[in-house]
Amino acid sequence: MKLISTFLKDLKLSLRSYYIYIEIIMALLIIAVLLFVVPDNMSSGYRLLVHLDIENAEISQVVEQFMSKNDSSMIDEQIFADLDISKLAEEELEASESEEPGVQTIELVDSVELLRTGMEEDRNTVGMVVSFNEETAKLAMEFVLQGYESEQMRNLLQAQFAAPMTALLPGYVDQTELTVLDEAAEKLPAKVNLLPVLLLLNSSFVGLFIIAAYIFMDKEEGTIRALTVTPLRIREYLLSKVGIMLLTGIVTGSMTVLAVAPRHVHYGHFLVLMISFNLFGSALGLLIGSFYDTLTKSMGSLYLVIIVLALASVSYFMPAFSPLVIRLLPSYPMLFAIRETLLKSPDIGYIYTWAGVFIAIGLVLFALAEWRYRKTITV
Amino acid sequence: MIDVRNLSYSYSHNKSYAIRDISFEVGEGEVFALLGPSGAGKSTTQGILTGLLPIQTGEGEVAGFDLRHMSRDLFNSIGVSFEQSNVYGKLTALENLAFYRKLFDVETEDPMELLKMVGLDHVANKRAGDYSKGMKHRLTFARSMINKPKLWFLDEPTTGLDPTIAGQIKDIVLKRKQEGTTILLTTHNMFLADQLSDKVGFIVDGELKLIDTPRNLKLKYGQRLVQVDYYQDGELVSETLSLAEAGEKHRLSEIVAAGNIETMHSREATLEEIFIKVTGRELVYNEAD
Amino acid sequence: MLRRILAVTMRDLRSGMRDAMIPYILIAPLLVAVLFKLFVPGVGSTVINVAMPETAEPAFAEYVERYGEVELLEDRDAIVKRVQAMDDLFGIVPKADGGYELIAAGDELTGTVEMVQSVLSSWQNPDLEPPVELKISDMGWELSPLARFGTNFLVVFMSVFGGMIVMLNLVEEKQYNTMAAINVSAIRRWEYVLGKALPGLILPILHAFAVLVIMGFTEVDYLQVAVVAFAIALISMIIGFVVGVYQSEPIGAVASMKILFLPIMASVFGAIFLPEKWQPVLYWSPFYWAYRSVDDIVLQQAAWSDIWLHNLIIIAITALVFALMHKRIKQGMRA
Repeated sequence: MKLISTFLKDLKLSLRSYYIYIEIIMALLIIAVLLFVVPDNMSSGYRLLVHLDIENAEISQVVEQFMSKNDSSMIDEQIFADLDISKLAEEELEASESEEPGVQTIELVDSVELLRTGMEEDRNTVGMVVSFNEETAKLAMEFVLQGYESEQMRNLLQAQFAAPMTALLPGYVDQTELTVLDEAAEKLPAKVNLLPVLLLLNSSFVGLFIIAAYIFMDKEEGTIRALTVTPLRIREYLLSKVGIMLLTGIVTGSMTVLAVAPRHVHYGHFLVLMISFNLFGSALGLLIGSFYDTLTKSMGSLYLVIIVLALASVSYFMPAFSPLVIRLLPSYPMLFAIRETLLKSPDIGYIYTWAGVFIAIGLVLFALAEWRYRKTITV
Repeated sequence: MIDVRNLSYSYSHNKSYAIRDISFEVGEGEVFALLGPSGAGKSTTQGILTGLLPIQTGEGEVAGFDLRHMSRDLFNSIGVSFEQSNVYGKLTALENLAFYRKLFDVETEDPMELLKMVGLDHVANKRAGDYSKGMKHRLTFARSMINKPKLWFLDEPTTGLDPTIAGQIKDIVLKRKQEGTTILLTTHNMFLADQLSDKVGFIVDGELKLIDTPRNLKLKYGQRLVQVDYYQDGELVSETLSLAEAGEKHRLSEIVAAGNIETMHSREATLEEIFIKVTGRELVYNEAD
Repeated sequence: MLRRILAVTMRDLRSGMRDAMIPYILIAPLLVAVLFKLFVPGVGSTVINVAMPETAEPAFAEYVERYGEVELLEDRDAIVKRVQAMDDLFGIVPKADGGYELIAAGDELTGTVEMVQSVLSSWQNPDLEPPVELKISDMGWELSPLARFGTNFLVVFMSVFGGMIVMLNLVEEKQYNTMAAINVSAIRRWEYVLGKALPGLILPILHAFAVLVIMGFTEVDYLQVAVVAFAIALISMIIGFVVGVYQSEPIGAVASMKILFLPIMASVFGAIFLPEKWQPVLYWSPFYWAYRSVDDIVLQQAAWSDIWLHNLIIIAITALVFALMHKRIKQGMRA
């Protein structure tokens, strides 16, 4: 009963202050950005600048030579489809631009110098110089990269282009058997794929940002002393704040997910995760806050923790980059768990395992925080 | 020093006036007390005079500056002590004053001297945030003197202070008065007004009901009373008799004739009694008083 | 005049030092930059990760390591389990017949499976020369896109902290109700505003310098950096003022400031990811123009004419915001 009336008081107070509305405005802004600014296909593709270091007539000659040596149909389809050279040749070497998403823009330039200046103007460009090696009577393709690319990336690029061409040669063997563990694995549209990060930071971790501030505010106004001379327990006092954070998180999280991905979200699972992660965030915020006596002092640590937790989003967006330190961050499984709730066939086991884990951790953190506040709250 | 005519002010810019048609004058070296209950319009009036509120209707001059064409230079010659203490909690008392003095173009007081004056010198290097309410109030009061103001606005200067400290503050004000500082005092404390001021104005519901010297007011509105304690049949009896009533005057002479008088005092009406008589309103006191 | 302006600034700094706010705001962004710096070399340099059994031929493992990171695990089961984890990692298990089983989770980034397949194909056909000669050269730009975008983002983002200092100092005035005392002193309003704004204008410039130094950009034109940082500091500071004069408690103020994060993030990420034809949707944002300037500076190809043009746009937008808000700021500073 006391808990409920404290909660209602806190709710009334927070509705009167700006704070809760700011969270809602923030959610609305996120929705607006996701719906109107983020395109469905984020990758703008890169530009390919090609310089053909051979005369027009020679190309056909080369092509003919190739055709005589190899199976013509394969060359046509494979090499030139891959490199788009045949298409370019057909179009009288005019620059062409593809409107299809994901397909890069291909432009022809007249010299290596132009290619280099072209790359300087727009660094999102890969250069290619095609020439004909008279000695070996082979087409020579030189990729011009930026320079930061690692040795592994260069090797990969080379292998990637070489493989389909070697595949044309006699004696080629391929004894690779591909096993795909989950054939139904789906890829989320760009804006939906962004949601887990935004939801985690804005809705799940709302308590981490702000719950300590609530306590400090009560401390500064002195209302906390008034409360400690009532039978209200510290636990109830803290839980009431946790409740406000939970409510704020659920409201903003639901708004965002329902507006941006109404057809993707499994709302029930989503709600369970929001509750669990929000509790964790608030408890962690309380615990960290308990080590400081003013809001500004605590802010440094809180923000640092938030930034570190936010690092997990790097691995979320670039799954190939996943050092152990990042996989150990609580936010790492959180992001993927939220992502699961947006998939057609979510991994229920994954979702509920982590929901359980973070509720448990949250409770432990909360107990610790309560223990600390019992000692320090009126100091 | 102050000369205002027909001041009216509405916070909501409509017909609900916080003050209405207020006019008064304060001469150089005078202490003028604006008396009235909380919410009567004292602070609004002071707000306009100190430029914290823009003038709406009416006109006036403060320390030689037209209220309609306020110049920041005005603030070099006035000092304002706020009813609610407002000092930087994160700075020490000394730092608060050291900062504030830099905002003026005129010669300023030594911060430490001021702190000594209000009895805060022993905690000069303590953060103001750790001060008690009364200490913060004294710091606010001390700060208002830093630019040696010719015109001094005091808003409830002794409210919430214990009697000894209130006495010290009163002494400081009296000393400044003797040195020729003009003072506008706003308060609901009639005793303070009585002790300090040359002139008082009664303000109720935004209107200035009357202005006069405390002495004139007492003569005009106050009855002269005599309180007499005497023995009658072995018991002590106390009576208060008005010298203005013929019957009571007669009764007094009877008691005197009987000769069993223990004590006898003449008593003047207090400003408070006069205020109630004139305005029909009680002054509302803070529990702190 | 100058004495009064500096008095306000020094008071703010002193007060900020008291509860460690200034040191935090000063250091926090640099800490982020250092963290980021530690991060950059790892991110993006690895395109594929592979797990294979410990029993795999060492020569084969060595070969694969030329293309990506290799983890050695106990057996196929362990590999399958590892592949199922949330990051992108492929399993390669040699088969008895000399071939290989390539295990993918199914949710890997598009195109990466094909890359691993080509690596395996080259291994299995060591004697086949491709019919086309392949060479790789580069422009000699060591700056990775991540370092470039990340640094730009940090520089633009840091301007928030300037606004934050201004805002917190104003909130302090509201909290202690000291604005009234300021209003009855001889300080002019513009002196006060300038004194309050000074830390918010200088700090982002210092931050920008520090970030660039930490990230190793010692060759860039620091004068250009200062000019751009000043312009963005201006807009952050005005937002700091608008928020500050209307909040009497730090909690609401900090939360309001959070809202500022969004346009900054949207501007920077939009500038990075949006295709050319979509860029105009960000033209309203001063942070977008600042980002473009910083990007040019970091690439060491900034022309002063572009910098001034972008700054002009930023200042025009700032002036517009100020024109819309100045009444509110003035009102808020009254009481």
